[in-house]
Amino acid sequence: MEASLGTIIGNIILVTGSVFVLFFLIKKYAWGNITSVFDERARKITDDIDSAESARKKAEELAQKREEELAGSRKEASQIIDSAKETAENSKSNILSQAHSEVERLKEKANQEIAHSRKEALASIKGDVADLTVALASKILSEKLQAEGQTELIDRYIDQLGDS
Amino acid sequence: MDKKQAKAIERYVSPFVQLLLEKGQQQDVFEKLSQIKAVCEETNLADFLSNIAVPETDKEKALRLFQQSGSTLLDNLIEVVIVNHREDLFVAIIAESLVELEKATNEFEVTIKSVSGLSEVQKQRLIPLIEEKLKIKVRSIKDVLEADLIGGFIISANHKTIDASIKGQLQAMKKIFR
Repeated sequence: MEASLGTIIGNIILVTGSVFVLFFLIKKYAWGNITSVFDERARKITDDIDSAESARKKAEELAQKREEELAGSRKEASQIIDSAKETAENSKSNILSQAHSEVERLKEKANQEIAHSRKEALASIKGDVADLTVALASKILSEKLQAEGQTELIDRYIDQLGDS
Repeated sequence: MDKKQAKAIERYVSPFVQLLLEKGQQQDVFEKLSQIKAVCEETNLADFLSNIAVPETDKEKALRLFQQSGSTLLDNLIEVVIVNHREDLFVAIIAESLVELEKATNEFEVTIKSVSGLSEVQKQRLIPLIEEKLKIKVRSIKDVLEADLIGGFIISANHKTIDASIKGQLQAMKKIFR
């Protein structure tokens, strides 16, 4: 079937009119909503970007702070190590000094014990010699002193008692 | 002997010795007491008197044998001991009385230890020396033989001693050596 030119033009006018009506309706009733969605989306993206920027700055600050803290910790650790070294050095000196004193004391004690042992040994020997001498003298005198000698001895002791 | 017994003995001895000194009988009674002490030691009377198995009457009989000693004071002492049933303390009372009398009169029995004894002449020479050195009066001399002395003698009286023995000299020498 062949359409006439008038029909075609009429269709074009009708379609064009319909399109305009559609545009008008969209503009009147849906455009606001559509643009607000886009605006919302744009605002959200902007907020996200701002938020990301803020987070980045915060992260940088935290990183900076962490760096400073690490530097502080390193310095403190260094100080602690230095202090420990100094303490160890002092302890070493003290221990050496004490060990030296102890050695001197033990040496002195050993010397005293040796001297004491020597003295005791000498005293013991002297005692033994004294005991032996007296025992020997007692034996000899007992054998030598007869009855007459006893009487003379008693007389002599009586004389001495009178003189004293 | 405990403190209680010592006090009991003292209660008998002190007045007895005081009375002897007041009456001037110390010399006579000392001899009698010495004899009683010697008898007690010979017969071991102290054990008999302190034995609880022995009847009181037997102890009394034994003590009464010492009565009629010729000294009223001594007889009275024995009577008091019997009446008070302190027969077990009798020997100790006699010994303590002798000690107290020696102290009160300053007259002591002197013990001389020697190897073979001293002659009478030597004793007579020693008596004034002892009285001078120990500041006591010599009541009597008791000879004790002791071979350990080697030579010389040891005089002792009233807890004082004069050592003139070879043993003593050797001991002194030993001390110096040490």
